[in-house]
Amino acid sequence: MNKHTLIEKLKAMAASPSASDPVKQAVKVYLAALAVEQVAVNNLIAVLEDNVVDVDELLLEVEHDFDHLVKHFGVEGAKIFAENARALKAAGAKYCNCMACTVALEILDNKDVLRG
Amino acid sequence: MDKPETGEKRALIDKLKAMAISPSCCPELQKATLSYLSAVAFEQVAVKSFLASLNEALDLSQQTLIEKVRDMAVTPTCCPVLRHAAKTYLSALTAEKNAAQNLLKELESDISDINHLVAFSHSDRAVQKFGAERAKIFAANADALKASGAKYCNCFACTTAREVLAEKDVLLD
Repeated sequence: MNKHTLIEKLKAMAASPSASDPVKQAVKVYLAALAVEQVAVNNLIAVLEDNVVDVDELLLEVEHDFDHLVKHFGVEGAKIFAENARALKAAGAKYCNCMACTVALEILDNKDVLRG
Repeated sequence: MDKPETGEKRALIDKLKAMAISPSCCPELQKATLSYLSAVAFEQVAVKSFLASLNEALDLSQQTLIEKVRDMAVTPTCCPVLRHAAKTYLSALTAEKNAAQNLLKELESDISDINHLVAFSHSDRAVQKFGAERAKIFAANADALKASGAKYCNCFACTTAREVLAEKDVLLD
């Protein structure tokens, strides 16, 4: 039985006259928590979609905002960052390969699993 | 290459086994057959293990994804907006799991076992709740249910509660 079917059963049960008041209340609280979780997961997915950096954006930052990179990573770190961005573009990659972007892409590939 | 575990192959393997243990099978053929059969068994174990590891690698379960969200939120390259969204999601998820656990506890404590149902159906509380005539019908139904060997009340709420409890991992996972 999937989660959706179980939730429908819980709703029907809570509306039945033989369900006790504490059960009705527990179902109500659970359904409210579930709704909040669904909003949070949809928000997370929207933010993930917004935040995955494509490789051209990465190069733009290298070319036009190098100072910002230096501030963030130091001179050596910024150089490595720039080399990585150029190597990514040359290899035909579409997105940044930092940990956050890599994980974000994996999560987005499976977003329906997270939505449950 | 033969597909493992096809019906045809299985039938042939069964024939080979029968042949290998028949008295008319010469020792060389018996040895060759047993050697082949152990190679087949070994191959099948290897195929099963390979398929299991492949499934494991491909299956990004919800639990794995949640771990990934948690890991992502603490990486230095994760921006504050994303970190906040991840944290909000993780706390909403915790609240949902707590509510699910509480609900399951409530369901467990609310299912009426048959003896409880029979006792209630014959009590003054049943008369107060349903009226004398309906309480009589209720008591007769409860007695009949007990006589049929049922262990629990069969009202809609109790039946649904048992169905939900049987699948509680779906709500908790």
